[in-house]
Amino acid sequence: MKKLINTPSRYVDEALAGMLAAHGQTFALQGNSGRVIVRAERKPPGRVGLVTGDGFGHLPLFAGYVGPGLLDACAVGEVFAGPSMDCVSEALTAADSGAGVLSIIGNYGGDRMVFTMAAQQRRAAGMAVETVIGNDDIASAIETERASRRGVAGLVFAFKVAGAAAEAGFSLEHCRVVTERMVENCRTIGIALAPCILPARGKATFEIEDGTIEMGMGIHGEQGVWRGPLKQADALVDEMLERLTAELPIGSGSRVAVLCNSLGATPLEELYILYRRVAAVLSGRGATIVLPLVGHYVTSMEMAGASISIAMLDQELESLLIAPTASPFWRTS
Amino acid sequence: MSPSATTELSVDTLRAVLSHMIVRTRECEEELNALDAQLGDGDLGSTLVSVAGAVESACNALPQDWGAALKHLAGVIARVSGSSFTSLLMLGLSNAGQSLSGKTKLSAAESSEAWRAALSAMLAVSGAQLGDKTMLDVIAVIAEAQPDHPLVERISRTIEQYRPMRCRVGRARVASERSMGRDDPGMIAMLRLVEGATQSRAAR
Repeated sequence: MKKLINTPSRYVDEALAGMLAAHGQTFALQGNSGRVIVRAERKPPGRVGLVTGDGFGHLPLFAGYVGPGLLDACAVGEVFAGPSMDCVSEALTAADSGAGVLSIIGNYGGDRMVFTMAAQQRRAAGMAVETVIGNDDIASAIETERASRRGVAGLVFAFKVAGAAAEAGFSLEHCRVVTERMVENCRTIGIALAPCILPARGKATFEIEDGTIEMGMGIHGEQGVWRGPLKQADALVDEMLERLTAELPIGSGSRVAVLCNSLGATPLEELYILYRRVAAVLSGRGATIVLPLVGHYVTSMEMAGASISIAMLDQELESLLIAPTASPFWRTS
Repeated sequence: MSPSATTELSVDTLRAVLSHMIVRTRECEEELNALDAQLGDGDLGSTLVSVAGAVESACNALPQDWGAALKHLAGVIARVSGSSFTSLLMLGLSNAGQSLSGKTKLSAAESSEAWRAALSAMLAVSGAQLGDKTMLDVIAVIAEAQPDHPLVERISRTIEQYRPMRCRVGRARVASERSMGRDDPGMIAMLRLVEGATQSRAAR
């Protein structure tokens, strides 16, 4: 294992400490658990609070999307292991300023259960809590079983829409509805070239031969659709888009947001090679890409590979997506 | 675990049982990690070892009331871990605790009732059903066991029966093809915990 670390068991805490040291104007740490990331400066009271949480190792997801115009609190677990219930409960409490809290999570078993139990606990104490569950990863289940699909890179769009809605003073119900619509309109597929290594175990999350890729692999190394020889970038993009657009009616006049995302090790150069093809194919279909995001948004430590997310936009979603933020990780221009 | 028909268990016995379960958990860390890595992300053993450490520290402070003791243990898990396995354990302990509130001695019938209370809460929150090849299928065996049943053998047999089947829920679901012919890591973890608990009974 080659990693720039001190002690495996301090991986999460030291990375969070560095995030705070680098972006002290955006982030602060809170809670008995020491694992609740909140905004350095709270938004005005009376606005809906937004919370997420999951295992660590996907930065900027999840904690990185706390900030002005985005989320209010994030419960951080261990590497690839979700936060404790107490930590989630603390995050919900931290985010509440009287208008209720919306949780946006990624449909992983432990997270679902912990967020459900923490929400029950907070509701019993009088807090209004709603949850939206991301399920954009089309490779994780067939379309008729969408509810069991995992949430991956498309969560970023859901965070952004919810963030702008809450900032604008929308009610909890309205925030939930627009966020759910964003999830409904978004699909993602990834390709994996090489695994990442879990710091505590020193072992790769999966094995894959040289020259081989896996289409549809999840951000924790979950099995994808097929494994086979590496192909040219354009051919891979074409297949990914074919799978995505089989579920999204993109045509003339469609307005879409695209996220061409590195899973960690794949460089910006290769993302642009992919994005070049994505842009050509989508404009060939008559669609307008109103928000192109290219970079590291949702990663899996040093995993090599990329994901493509497409979100179909209506007027409201578009205006919420392009509303301003001051996050160090949401770079649009 | 299940007391014999005639004896009644105190929280002191629980403490002894827990110490053996903690030892067994540590012995099985690598086995459970490796098993989990075939279907999930390979951290089940490490997760349980970290929970075991927290439970060990909490053991001396366990109240004599079974209900309070189990809720205390649930609180320990709520503080340290959020995996699906440990969240379900936490939920089960908390609901079992609810059903045993005020009791300092536990009969076999009360123990089974507490297990059933735990199981129904775990089924409700997880969305899993019995037969889905999860830890809950093992808990069902424990809940239905009579005190004189050889529990480890029964659980091992159950795991064998499920081996050829697909995992239908949880993370292993996405590897459902691969899950056929393999044991569910959560079921094996439950077996190891019960092995620890029965070692404690043998030691007495």
